[in-house]
Amino acid sequence: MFDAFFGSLVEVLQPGTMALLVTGVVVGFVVGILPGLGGPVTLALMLPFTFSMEPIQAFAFLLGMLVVTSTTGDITSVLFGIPGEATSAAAALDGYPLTRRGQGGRALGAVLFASLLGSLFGAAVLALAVPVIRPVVLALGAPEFFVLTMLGLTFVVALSGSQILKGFLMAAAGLLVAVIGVDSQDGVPRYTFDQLYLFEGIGLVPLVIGLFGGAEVLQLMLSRQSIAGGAEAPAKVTGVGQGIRDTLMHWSVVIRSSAIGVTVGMIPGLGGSVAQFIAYGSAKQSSKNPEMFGKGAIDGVIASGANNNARDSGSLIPTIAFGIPGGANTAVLLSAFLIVGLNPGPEMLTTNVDVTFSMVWITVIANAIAVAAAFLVLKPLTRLTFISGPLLVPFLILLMVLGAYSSTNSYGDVMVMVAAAAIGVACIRWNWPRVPFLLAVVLGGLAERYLFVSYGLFGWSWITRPVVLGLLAVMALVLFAPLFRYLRTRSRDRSENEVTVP
Amino acid sequence: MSTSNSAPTTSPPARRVSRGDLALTLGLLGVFVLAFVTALGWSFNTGVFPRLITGLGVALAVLHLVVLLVRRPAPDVQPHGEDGDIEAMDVEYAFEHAEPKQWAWTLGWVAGFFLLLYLGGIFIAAPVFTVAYLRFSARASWLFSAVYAVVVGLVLYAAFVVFLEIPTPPGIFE
Repeated sequence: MFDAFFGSLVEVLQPGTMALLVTGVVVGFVVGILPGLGGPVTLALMLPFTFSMEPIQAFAFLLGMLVVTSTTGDITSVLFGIPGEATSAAAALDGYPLTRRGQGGRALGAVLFASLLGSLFGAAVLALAVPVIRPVVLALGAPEFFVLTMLGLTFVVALSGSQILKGFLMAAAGLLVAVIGVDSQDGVPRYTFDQLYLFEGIGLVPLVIGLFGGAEVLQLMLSRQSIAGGAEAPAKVTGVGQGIRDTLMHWSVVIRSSAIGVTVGMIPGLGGSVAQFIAYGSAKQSSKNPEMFGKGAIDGVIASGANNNARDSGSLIPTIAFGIPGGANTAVLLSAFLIVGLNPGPEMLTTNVDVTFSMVWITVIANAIAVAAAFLVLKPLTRLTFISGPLLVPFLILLMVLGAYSSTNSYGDVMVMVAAAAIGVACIRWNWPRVPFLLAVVLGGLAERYLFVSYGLFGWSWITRPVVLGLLAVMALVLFAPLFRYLRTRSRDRSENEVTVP
Repeated sequence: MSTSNSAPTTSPPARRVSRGDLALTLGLLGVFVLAFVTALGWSFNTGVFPRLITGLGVALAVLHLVVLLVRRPAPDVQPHGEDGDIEAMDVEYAFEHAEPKQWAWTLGWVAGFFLLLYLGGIFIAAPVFTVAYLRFSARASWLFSAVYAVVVGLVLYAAFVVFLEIPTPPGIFE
């Protein structure tokens, strides 16, 4: 295990891998600063570049990019009050008031250094999780993995919003898309309509690019304005060292927020938007000056920064060990696993454990580079925020088309991308969740394989295996919890109305 | 759901079904029914998983349809967007508030790009669309638009053709 751990560091430090990591960091840096371009969209656009890469190189590029968007997303939150990423919203609550008081540098020093410490904490947990979780994963069989896959989908649908029925419908639609193509058991074409292109199934890359990228590009075309709107950059950014000292003084906030980030990150569906506000609330509760929260509390900024990066590592744990991503970012990242020929689950903890450990090093190195670079070239980079949205449109459309086409070099890929973009736009317009759909497409093939193996080995009696029953019970609990909450609220409202109405 | 429990001072919200929700649900119901019927013709090995998911899809679509038609809409307390996603909220705001004219203009550009791509391939579509879009939609200068088109073309050519060595979309006249 130790050999694999340090061996993976040597692999990450190879010049070619490091060059890709730095490229990923640069892309992540720019995307994190640009509000409006999210991590999942950029990950999707970058997937085609990984076709010819080795697994560790691909993750150096993609994961390096992803973890840095969390770090740099905080910069615009602090300087302009505009979160660069959805997960950076809490940093704006106290970071921006500090900037308006002339302490922007201090806030940035605190949030960036806390991000670095959070990433170290998360990486340590990820590394320690491997030996702990390995015997658990190896003890599970196909039936348990099938139910875990379904449980992951249930978590993502049930915990990610109020539109549960819509979420399950989208998940069912995603599973249906996943079965398009020639059946691997009997070689029968399913839902292919005699189209040769569909025999191989729907390509993940054009689907992901269209689903997430299409809507963002259309929004840039429709809004036709500067991404940062009318926000103004602060005249000077000083006091970074004070922010770093503040972070060290508030070490307990860093540890607590990081722990919250890792824990929430491990639960599929809860996502970073929830984690940051739990950490923020916790920091407020334990603060000596809770009245300052929302007005410029430095511990609020530290909590947000530390939480974000620790959460990224936490969300990798179920993705690697069980193939259950926690949200959009890790769902797209899971597509990368399949593209480079890796199967999440036992393989990632045995034969490919070096790839898993490499993710620990990539997280740490990418964040260290990003934070160092942020301190050095902060001011000029913030000007990226003022780039007009429509100027990005031609570049993004061309990148989308070329990326989608590269999947199988067919116009079918472009058509899939356009159709996925239409689905993505309709989903956003009428508030239907996209993540369960994508997750179901990604997990559908795995789920069917697990179901087939389970049936082949045990018939239908696999349903009575104790772990399967336990997981089904958890699934039922997750499913019915919103119903119980609804009934309880209704009953409470009814009793309140009976009191007010004579 | 009975309305008799509502407080007398507040009128119940009108029962208004979102046409978008209704259309999407009906569309999905149709797809699931067709897919289920198709899957009935396959062997057990081939058809068991599709039958399970499409059967579930039909049940969920019917349930959602009933909920849409029967249930009174609840006050919208949760901000839209997946998981409170800021980007999704921005996009949703833009989609909700765009005028039909803006939609037509935008979709016209998109359709024009894909028509150009189909006819001339990526190396015709890229410079023509870039210059035209930047000049007439983004109101950039001719010089800026031309320089942008050249730079973007070179970057993408270097990335996809030179570095990745993968084919690019050809036009029907190529």
